[in-house]
Amino acid sequence: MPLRDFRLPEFDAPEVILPPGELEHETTIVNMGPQHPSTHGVLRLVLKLDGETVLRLVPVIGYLHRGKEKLAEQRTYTMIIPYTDRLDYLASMYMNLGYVRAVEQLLGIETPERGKYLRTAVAELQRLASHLLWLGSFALDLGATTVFLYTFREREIVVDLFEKLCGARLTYNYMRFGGVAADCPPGWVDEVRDYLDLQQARLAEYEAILTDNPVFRVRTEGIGIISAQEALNYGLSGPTLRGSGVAFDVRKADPYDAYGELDFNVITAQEGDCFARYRVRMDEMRESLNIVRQCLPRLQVPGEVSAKLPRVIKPPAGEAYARVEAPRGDFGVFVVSDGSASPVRLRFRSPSFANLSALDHMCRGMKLADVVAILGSIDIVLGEVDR
Amino acid sequence: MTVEQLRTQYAALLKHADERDGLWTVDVEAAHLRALLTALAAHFDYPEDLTCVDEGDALRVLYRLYATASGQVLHVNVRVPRDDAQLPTVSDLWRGYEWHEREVFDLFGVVFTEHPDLRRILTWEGFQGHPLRKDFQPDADDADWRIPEQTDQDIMDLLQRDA
Repeated sequence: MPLRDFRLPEFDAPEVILPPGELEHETTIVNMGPQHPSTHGVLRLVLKLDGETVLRLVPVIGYLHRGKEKLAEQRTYTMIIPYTDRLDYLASMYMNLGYVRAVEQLLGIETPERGKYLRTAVAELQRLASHLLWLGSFALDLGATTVFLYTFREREIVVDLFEKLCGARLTYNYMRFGGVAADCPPGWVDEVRDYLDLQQARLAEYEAILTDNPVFRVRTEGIGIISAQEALNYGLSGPTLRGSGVAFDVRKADPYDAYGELDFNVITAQEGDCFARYRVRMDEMRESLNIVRQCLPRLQVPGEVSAKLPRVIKPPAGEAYARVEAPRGDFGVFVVSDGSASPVRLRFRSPSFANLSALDHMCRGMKLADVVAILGSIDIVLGEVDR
Repeated sequence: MTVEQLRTQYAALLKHADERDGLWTVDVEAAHLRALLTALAAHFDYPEDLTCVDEGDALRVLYRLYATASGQVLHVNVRVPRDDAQLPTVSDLWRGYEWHEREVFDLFGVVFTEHPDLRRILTWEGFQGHPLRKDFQPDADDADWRIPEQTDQDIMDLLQRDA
């Protein structure tokens, strides 16, 4: 039977006869979170329901607000790098990268060739690690436990690779102004190559479990639709925007590091539902493998990985805005300097914050159980939403 | 559109417009902000960012807009006095700015008039002051950081309103 013809079996529900006019307008208010396994952190949702149908949803955020932008005003530029690790803690490399690129713009410095390629390879490995974690937890939200175990097995390899680079497994503090903290150890490039081959095969394994799985399809197809125009108007970005058919990717629109010299595609899907966002991320992982593969020959060439900079960094007065395509979307960093050793203002534009603001729109008219699927499909990290 | 066209077309609204490294920056008076952004909304379809900088004598609110068709980025600066920080909302032009305006209200105390739901977003209801202002005193002796018991009255009102 072709999949599109699959329907959940009909069942004969006993007919409930209600007195006319009653129960029609009865609504229920349900609180979900902040401690709830499917809200992926400390997110609280207040839902107004008509039976099982969502009429309105109000996200309540701020439970993880640590005032990073305020803290940064009293730290030197270098001291801020580890703080950025704790924004999107599932893609710390990318948070580092966005921040150092903004300061590099202020300083007007260039990264050496090898540093650029190392940064790009690491960034795409980070995207893989982040999407793998997303895939596992998204499948788990929908009740598919196996995929979670598979993806964590492979993510572990990436985390090990990062540990060899910088000693840390989650908060890497690896990027520096004008390069990276340390060159990769001997043999690292070969290990990455082995991983890429393994991951390529394993992606097909995950898809065999999910893509044609009727239950997975019914839970994701046509669920949480947002049109291209609405997605743009809400300022969505990353796979959540590209799943609605908008080919906006900072790596192409505003190339940084080595992306301008690499050959890759921007993945889009047209439907704008949970399944489209799933497909975009799956194909993006293949593109990431492809990008890392293109970087590897350049990492065989020895060279400097970081520009020479004074110990205390005092950028000239002015302001800079840098953006990078983090796994969750367009991560922007705005920094204002007055010439001193600390920024006057540091602002993080977090993709999850904008993506989460459209949740109410996506969930209206859907069933309560779909809220979990939709929230999983937009892939938020609360560390970055709340900052 | 070029920055010259922008300058001539909206000459009455703009205080200043320039281009540096492909980034267009315009300065506008608060009174003309709404008119300018309404005119630009058709071209700049993506609300990339909205933030604020405390410049001492004034608060500078920065709208960062992106045009997906041309790839052009535009920064719109508007300065408001810190003791009477008020701006018209543009969250009806770009829904994405609804939360960003709430954040600037919460952290800087800029009031966006006509905003559909102007509540604090990162700090809690009942929080005193606006933390990202330079004169905010987190270690004042009389500061009381206990979080008041949540009544959720604001959320319930919101849910009742569009019943």
